[in-house]
Amino acid sequence: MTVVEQTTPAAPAKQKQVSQSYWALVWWKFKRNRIAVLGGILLLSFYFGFVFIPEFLSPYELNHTSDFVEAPPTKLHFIDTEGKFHLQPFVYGMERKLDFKTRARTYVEDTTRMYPISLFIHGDEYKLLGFIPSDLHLYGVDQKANPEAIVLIMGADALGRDWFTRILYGGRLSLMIGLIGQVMTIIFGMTLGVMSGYYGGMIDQVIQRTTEFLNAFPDIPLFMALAAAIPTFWSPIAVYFMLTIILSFVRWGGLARQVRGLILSLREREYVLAAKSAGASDARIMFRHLLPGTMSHVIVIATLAIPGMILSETALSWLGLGLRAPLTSWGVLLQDAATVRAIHTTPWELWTVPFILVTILAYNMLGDGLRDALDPYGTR
Amino acid sequence: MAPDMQTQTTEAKAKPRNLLEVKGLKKYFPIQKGLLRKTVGYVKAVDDVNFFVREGETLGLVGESGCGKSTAGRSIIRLYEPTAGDVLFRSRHLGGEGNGLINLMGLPPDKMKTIRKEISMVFQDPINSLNPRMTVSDIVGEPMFIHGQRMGPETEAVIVNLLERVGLRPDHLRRYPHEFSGGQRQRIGIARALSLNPQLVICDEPVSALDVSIQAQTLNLLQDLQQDFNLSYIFVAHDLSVVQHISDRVAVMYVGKVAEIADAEELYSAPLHPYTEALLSAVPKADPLYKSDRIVMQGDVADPSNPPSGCYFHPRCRYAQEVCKLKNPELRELKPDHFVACHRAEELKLEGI
Repeated sequence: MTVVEQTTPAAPAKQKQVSQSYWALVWWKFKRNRIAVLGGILLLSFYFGFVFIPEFLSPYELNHTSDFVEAPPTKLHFIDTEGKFHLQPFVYGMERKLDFKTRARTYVEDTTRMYPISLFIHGDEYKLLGFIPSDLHLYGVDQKANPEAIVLIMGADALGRDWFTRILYGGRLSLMIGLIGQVMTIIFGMTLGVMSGYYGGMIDQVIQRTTEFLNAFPDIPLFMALAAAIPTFWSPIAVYFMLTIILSFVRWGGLARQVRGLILSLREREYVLAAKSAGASDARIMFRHLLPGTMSHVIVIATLAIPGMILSETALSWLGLGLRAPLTSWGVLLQDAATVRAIHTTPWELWTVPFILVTILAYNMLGDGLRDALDPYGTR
Repeated sequence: MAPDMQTQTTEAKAKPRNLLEVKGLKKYFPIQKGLLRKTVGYVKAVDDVNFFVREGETLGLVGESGCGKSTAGRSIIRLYEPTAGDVLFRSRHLGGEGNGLINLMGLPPDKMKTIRKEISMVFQDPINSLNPRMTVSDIVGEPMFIHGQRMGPETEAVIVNLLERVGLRPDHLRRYPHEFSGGQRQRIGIARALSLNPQLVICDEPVSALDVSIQAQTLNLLQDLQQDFNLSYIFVAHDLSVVQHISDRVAVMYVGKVAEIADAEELYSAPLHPYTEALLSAVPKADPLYKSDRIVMQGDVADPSNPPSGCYFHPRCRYAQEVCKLKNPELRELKPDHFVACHRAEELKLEGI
């Protein structure tokens, strides 16, 4: 006994009290999952690159047309015809030839003309984030000195536009439609789900039957009907927002159901009774006590649902029901590559597919990691 | 029944005033079946309960599981909207009619909110009664926030004071419930209940989920706080020894009805209801030589959706007679301050402890 008392420090040790909130524990666990972190990093860089700075990453402006109609990807060279090694990669000039029998265009490299590719080069003018004027591009050939030079790492489309540039710009709309649509789904789904679960009775009945009604509809015909209802004279951007609303309107039901189920179990917890006994309003109980308890599930569900949203946009645009030509989205790009002729003559237009695949894989990796991490007390 | 209580109130002038009077309280939960949710019956969780609580005293509410103790406690502050009955309360903020008591039933929401400052609750489950996503300071301060106090240094000082009062440290303020032991969590719950300076605290089995050693600490804490804050308690429990320790008066409930109410000592030494006697015989005694003559009750607690005829206890009562099957006994005052609902209370000689 005496020993214990002697060793007890007179002043409490200056140990820093680390108190972890739920989200801090989640972060700790999430960090340990390499695959999920990779997914997260991929998505962050995709969103940053495609949504904020596609103008900088691409060598040209979106509507920069050229004579190189349906040109295949230009080859990057380090070694010239004389076998000399160049540290700076370069492209050869391209010459278009027409086969008079088949009317097929072919491009051949003109090895007499060499154009070096430089980083951070001045080219087409644009406004970064819509207000910062700039003409700096991550890579490209000097357009002022050699206006006839072009670098098309993923080929060109029927108007001679750089396909890679189009993919970058298209990612902006495709990625944003998934995110904005999902945010709206969460808002719809959570609000209706929490009301359904908390109030029960008639409100519950009405909301649940509506969900069933929406779920019972086959997706594509419903989209078609709704998309057909969008006036044709609307500007493409209005169509874009309308499409987002349609996508989330059709999809909130599942989320509302899951939230309702969680609320049904949470509302029986004594802390809800404690808040009620202190006089808390319904809104306070729902949004302060019940909804935070469902957040972890909602985040996982939402993360795993965003790919569905992106794919829906892609599918609808591919069918010609979604975004339309002046806009560039991955669905619109796929529509360009949808014919047998396109696959035969311009297979590089399928470069859109890997971008979609990687995005969706990244979302699934992140979602799986989040699902494990959001249960920080579980053992895994 | 109700008139008995009122005469009692006027007679006992020397005793403190009644803080709370519960009269004919009923809570029936509907049983719904089928697609159209037709009500096919009712679970009579609380069926015509009458009792009162005096200022500064502790009323113990005991009974087996499912006898409606917790429901009665929750119905008093309308966490469950009672089916019928009156709950009269002596409010500091709202004036009452005549005798200074205000009826909580049918009180509009804004006035009910004021009453909620004066009656608070401590819950059973120390894990479930604290929101895992909120810090101790948020939890304890929530009632104050709900009643319009903004978070700031002053409110925080009040919270720190409350935490110290219940035996926690100020540096616990920013921690989350999962970082505490069961006893500590219950202390947080108690601090929350006291945050609005209530008159009456309804303790809904506050120690049932705790270790025995922690139970004693928590009970002592509750008693100290009662002294310091001049609180009245309604103490719901199923452990008779716990109730004996803390209560001034005890009410025994059986299937939604009050079987017996008396001063704690009187009830334990000279019970008048056979059900009380049976419960008391099951209390363990710390005497190795003691030979138990425990009364083993036959069968289970009656089904509150389909209670037996007459006295609800008669199928399990070893003193039951014909009258018990036919007539429901009224709660009557047999001795001063000793109410019992039994036809044979006068003739039976029952054993206490």
